[in-house]
Amino acid sequence: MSFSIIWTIWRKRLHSTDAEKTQRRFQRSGNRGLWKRRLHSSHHTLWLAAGNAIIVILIIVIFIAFAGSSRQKMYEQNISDIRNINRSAANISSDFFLNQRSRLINASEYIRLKNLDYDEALDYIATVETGSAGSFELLDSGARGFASLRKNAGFIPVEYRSPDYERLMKICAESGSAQKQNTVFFTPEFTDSLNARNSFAFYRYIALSRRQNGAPPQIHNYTLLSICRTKQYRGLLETDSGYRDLATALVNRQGDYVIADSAFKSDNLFRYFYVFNNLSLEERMRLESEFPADGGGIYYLKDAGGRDSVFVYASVPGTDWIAVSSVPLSSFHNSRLDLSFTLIIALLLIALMLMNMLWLEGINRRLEESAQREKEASAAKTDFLSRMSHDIRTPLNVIIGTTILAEDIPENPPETAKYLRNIEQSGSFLAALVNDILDLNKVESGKMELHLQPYSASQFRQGISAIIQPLCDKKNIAFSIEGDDSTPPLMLDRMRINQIFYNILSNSVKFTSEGGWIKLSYSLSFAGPAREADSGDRAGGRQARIEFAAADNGSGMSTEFQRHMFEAFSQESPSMRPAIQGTGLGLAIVKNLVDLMKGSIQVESLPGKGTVFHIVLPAETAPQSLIERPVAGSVLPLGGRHILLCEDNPLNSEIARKILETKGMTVDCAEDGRQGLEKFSASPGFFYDAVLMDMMMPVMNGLDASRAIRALPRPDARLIPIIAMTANAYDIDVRNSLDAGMNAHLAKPIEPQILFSTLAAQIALAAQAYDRGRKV
Amino acid sequence: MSALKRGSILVLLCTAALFLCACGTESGYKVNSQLAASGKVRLTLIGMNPDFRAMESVISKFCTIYPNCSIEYEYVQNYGKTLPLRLADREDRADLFITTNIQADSTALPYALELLSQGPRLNISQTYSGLIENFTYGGRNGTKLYAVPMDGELRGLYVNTTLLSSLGLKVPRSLDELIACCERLKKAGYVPFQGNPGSFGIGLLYPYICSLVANSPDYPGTYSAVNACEPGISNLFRPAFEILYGFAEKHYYDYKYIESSRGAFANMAEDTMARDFLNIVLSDGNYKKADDRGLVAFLPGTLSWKGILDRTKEDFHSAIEYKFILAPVSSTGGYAYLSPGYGIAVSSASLHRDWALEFLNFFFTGTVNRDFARQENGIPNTKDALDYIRREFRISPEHICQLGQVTFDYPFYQTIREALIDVSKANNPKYMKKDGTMYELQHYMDNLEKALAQYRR
Repeated sequence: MSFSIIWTIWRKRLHSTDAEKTQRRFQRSGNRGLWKRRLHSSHHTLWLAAGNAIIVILIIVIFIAFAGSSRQKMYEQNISDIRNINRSAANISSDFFLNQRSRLINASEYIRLKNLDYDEALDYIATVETGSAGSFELLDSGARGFASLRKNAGFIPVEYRSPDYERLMKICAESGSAQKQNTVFFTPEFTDSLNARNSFAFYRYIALSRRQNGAPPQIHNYTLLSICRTKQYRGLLETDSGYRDLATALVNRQGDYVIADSAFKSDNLFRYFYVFNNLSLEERMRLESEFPADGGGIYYLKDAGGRDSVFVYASVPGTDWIAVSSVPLSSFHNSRLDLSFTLIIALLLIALMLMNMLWLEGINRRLEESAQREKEASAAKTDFLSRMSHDIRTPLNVIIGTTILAEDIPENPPETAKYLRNIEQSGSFLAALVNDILDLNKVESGKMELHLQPYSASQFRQGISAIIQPLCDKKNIAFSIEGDDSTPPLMLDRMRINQIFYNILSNSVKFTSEGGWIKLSYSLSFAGPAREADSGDRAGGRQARIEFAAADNGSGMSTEFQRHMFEAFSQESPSMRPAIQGTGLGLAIVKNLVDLMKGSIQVESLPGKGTVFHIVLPAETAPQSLIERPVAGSVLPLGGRHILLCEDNPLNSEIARKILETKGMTVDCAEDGRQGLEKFSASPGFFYDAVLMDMMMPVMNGLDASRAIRALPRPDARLIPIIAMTANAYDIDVRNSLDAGMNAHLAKPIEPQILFSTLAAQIALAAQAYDRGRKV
Repeated sequence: MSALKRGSILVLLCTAALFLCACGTESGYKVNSQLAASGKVRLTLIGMNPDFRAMESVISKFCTIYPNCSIEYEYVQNYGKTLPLRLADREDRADLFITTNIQADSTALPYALELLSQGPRLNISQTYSGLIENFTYGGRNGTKLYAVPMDGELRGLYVNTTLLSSLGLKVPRSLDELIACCERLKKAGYVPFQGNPGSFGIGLLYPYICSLVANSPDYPGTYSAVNACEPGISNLFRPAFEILYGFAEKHYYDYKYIESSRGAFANMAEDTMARDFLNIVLSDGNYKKADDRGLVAFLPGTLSWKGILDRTKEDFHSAIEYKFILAPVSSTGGYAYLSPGYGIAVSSASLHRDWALEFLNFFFTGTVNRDFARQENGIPNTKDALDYIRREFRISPEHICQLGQVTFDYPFYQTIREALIDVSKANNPKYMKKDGTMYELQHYMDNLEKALAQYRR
């Protein structure tokens, strides 16, 4: 039991997500201290296993010792019980025999004192009560005579004159022995010739006068037997001893049976032992010579049924006989459960349980402490990365934004324009690198969450085309997307889906030569029976499966690289691919995102031939209530729109303003959240079309400012799109901004196209909402 | 359910069935499920053997198969006389009993259950018909069977190999060798043959006499002649009587000596003869071993006596070795005559008749009965009984016969036995001519002829 507990705990620890995460964190951070703690924990586990093993071994040893001792105790108790039964049988036999003996003595003494002749003696013994199971018999020296039972006019004759009655004949023949005249003897068991019942008898020699054939009476010697039926005697010995197959025999000192239960075979105890135990003659003689021992004895031998048995014997008081009782060992009483033993085992088990509980408690405590430390470390790291991200993005936004603005100056000399393009490209790469690192960190630390929202095929097509098509155009690469746009929208994380295919397809663009092609195809299938199309699947939740295939005829990948392609920072060797700028994080992020979405990704690639990525993602259909009506955001004119820009950094503010003004928008700037709130409050209703809100600002941050705007008692306060435009790019930042009432989140550095499309979409949505409100 | 599952279940069922069959049978014995499922019973089997280990072994096996049944073997003394008394006891009923052949005049007949009328409840199909037939008799209502022979019996010689070895003699394998042995024994001061005259001639020569009939070239004709006691038929048996007469003439068997010096042989009780054979003598009121060589070289007797001899040898720790052989009364060895041993019968008063019959079914299963016969020193009452004899005693089929072949319409055995007893006593002065010489062989042959003539038809 203990081992199974330990194993289960080990397995859980080894296979738990926490453990994996912890292990990865340890690996990443190279925190040797934590590894030491882990080793320390293993050390504890070994001690615990050893402790469990010791207790289990202790229980087994105690059990074996107890079982042995208990068995021995029980065995001794059985032997003691059988000895008592045997002694009891000896005492009962003694009483019975003394009683029978007295009856015989009384009868014979009466005959002698009254000087009865043969016929008178017969008449007399016929009147003596001998019990239902017995009678008197009067035999002459030739073993012939009469039973004391009358039949017709006389008595029933009996005769013991066959070789079987050799011993009885001998007894009768010795009736003339003067030395034995007054002694009471006992016959061995015999078949009563009167009724063929197994019997035994006490006998005494008596001399009687008898007149025969008219001759004068003559004195003859006779044997007077007081006969008892063996069954009656055995009935006295039958007690409810609880021992099955208990058998008792009376034997003389030579082992000859006087009276024996039928379980005792042969006519002699030692012959019985000899025959049924395959003893040697020497063994038999040894047993005979040692019998009977004073105070009784015991033999361990087999009975006639071949069962191991005990034979216990004791002298019968007042006689020269020995009572032998046999019981098969298989009939011994089973041992009863000992209370003290039970307590010991129970205590040991409780000790084992407590030890394991304490150990588990210790593990839990250490795990909690470890988790807390990890949480704190993670929070600190997140805070650090967040700050770093913010602090990198902010100047980067300035660099990229300024560069973009500078590029738009038509008077730029060609050299300047070229340098600006280089700056922009490097800035974009740096921004992508920052984004990728943050994304990878989020995914691997399990902090990335999916924000599911309805996403239609057409939206997906537009989103991908908008980014990839321009890239392809620049390299004269044919780009196509194939798929059925009529499929119902699915609940997907738009940003992460797009991110997967941006990464894959941008790689394709990178590694496909001019004049090449890139194809993206998708198809949707549903699990279970198809529903009625017209119903529109309003409730949503129907399981679907999207299969994507992104193919190109680019440079392909080597087999060696394919083994490591999803590992962070892995890149194809320069010999295989031309020197192309990249972080080596794109595919790692893709793999993590696909895994996060519980999908699968497979790659087919041949160097020089191209690559195909197969991605399968599960999804559910979106409920009708969540599906947005199409908004022509991309075509909504932005010129003339009033934008309130809340940005504390003057450079960023300037860049954003300039970018917005390129589309003809009018921009009011606020240096912090408070100012922004005041400007909005002071503006007429529906004056501003949108608010772009930085997050980290002095006086009042963007979140508080957004909440305050939403809380204003004016109709446009709830409808105006507030878009976070911030260097705080973490999920938590996105969630916080949405929780604060903002409508969208844009991470710096600003990409003008994304900014414009987001503004257009949000303004259009607000307009729709306004229209709906008015109608209502 | 898949085919695989069905197949697996079928295999399991077959295995279970085979297992149950294997558990439920004793090599061919089919357990009576009805009895096995019934309540507890206790049966009593009575017999004349004080120590009937072979039967105890069968009982033990039976009770292992039927744990709800126990059988107690009860030894009854003076069996011939007390058996009817015991069977008549309604207070303590016997269910089964050991018996000799129960015929119309048997005292046990009123207490025995007729077995052939028990139908399918009794199955003794594995027994040897030659033995069963002898136990059947034609009663008023047709053929009856009241007991089934438990095993078969052979007559032959017990040879004291210790004594022979001490004189440098080997166990004889032919009549010449037997005579040579006897001569050597006589010279050494021994009387070679011992035994009661009632068993001596019969034990030595009855198998040969039966073989003269059963294995004659024209058995039907010979049988018919013997059955009809045709005039001169006694001559058929003359070769056997010649041998016996010769043994008496040469005092290889000395009845006077038996009467005067070997009184125990005057008593036909098996244990007294066994004691004498092993030279166990009465001394100070107790029997004691006189020596470990003995005085008797050849004791005619039956195969089943071996148990008595073995027991006596064990009891008195005698070192005398002995061997049972078919009496070599021809140049090619001895003759085997198979007769039934004791039978087992069901008491008609039994309250557990079905159980008693089931015990017989079990007892007469081939393997059970062979094991019983081996322990009892008998010939199994199985279909291959004669083959068993041929294998065990290495004799040709022409030297084997069985009781059924020599059962006639008159007491043939008794007639031959009386004649053989007469010849056995021929060298006793009491039975000689007045001049102290033995009667000639022809005298005894004439007596035999006269004895047979009274049954002539």
